[in-house]
Amino acid sequence: MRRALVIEDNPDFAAFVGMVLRLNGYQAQHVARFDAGLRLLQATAFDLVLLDLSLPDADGLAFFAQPIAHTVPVVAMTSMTDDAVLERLAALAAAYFIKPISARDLTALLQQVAPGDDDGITHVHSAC
Amino acid sequence: MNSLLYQKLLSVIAHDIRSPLASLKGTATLLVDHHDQMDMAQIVAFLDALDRETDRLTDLVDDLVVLARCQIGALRLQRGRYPLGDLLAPVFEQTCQLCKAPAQGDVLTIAVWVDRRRVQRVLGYVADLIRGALSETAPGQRIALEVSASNRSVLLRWSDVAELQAIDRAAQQLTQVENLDDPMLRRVAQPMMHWLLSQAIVELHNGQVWFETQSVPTHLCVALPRAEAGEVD
Repeated sequence: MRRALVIEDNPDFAAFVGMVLRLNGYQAQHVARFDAGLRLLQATAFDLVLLDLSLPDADGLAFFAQPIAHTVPVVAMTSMTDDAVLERLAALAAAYFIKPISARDLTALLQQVAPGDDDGITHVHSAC
Repeated sequence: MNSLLYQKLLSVIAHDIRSPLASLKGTATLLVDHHDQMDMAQIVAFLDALDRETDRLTDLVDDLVVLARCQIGALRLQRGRYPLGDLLAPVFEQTCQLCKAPAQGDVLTIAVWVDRRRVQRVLGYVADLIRGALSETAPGQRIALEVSASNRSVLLRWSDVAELQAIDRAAQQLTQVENLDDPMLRRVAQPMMHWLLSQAIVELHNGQVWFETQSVPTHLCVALPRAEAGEVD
């Protein structure tokens, strides 16, 4: 079974993302803080990371400066609609979406981000 | 706070509304599309999440409305006489593990002349601030709460105990926000908003909320008007 790590400080939103992941055949693990996410990612292999950009202990964009960020597809989850931030995400992440998102749109996005294809990176933008 | 920073803060808070909205949209669509793939316990857990996030959204919108009304002087207070102990009871409940109870029991019977709902909200914000400040200290640390009264007002004063500098850190975070960059502002936006609301609401009561940072330890103070004999609900 594929494994996904959800780094998100809102437990209710994390529960929603976790459920959609499970419905799509992932085993989902959740942490609420940036540093805990990095530690877990360094210790465990994951097929996908879903990363909230506004975490209590760090700016989520800092994740992409970590070497580990280049070893796994990352779907960024953001409430920001700032063009500059979204341009950076388009360049750095495998995909991103702007909150809120429906279960159906998240499912479609997960199905487009397909680890194992060519370079493993598919750029998808989903704004609801 | 300068007006540019104030506008920025409002923009961050308005932005924060997306957080509960995201949970509401996600959870509702999940239940509509996939309820038949879930057991009853999962469905109830997601319905609980809807309930929780709706409350959160309501609080955020209410904060914005109250702050806007304070800014234009349109917030009406529903004042009454309330014993201080009644107002403080929820704060003691929320922070009983964190605060030393005040020794001056008699002071708690003094009546204050306030809008109970608004002032309890302010005291809730203070409790949140204390919890947040203590969350970054070693376990078991406590804050002392001292209550005193004069003829015209009642003073609540929370203080760091011994070497603990939790309140001092909270004061620095909230009062030096002018120097913060955008990512930091995002992280302190909600406590900042609550601090501004607390000041605005208490000032409408002719009271005051402030930090005393000149001395060690730092104090967080709330002064509320004492009810006078002639005041009726």
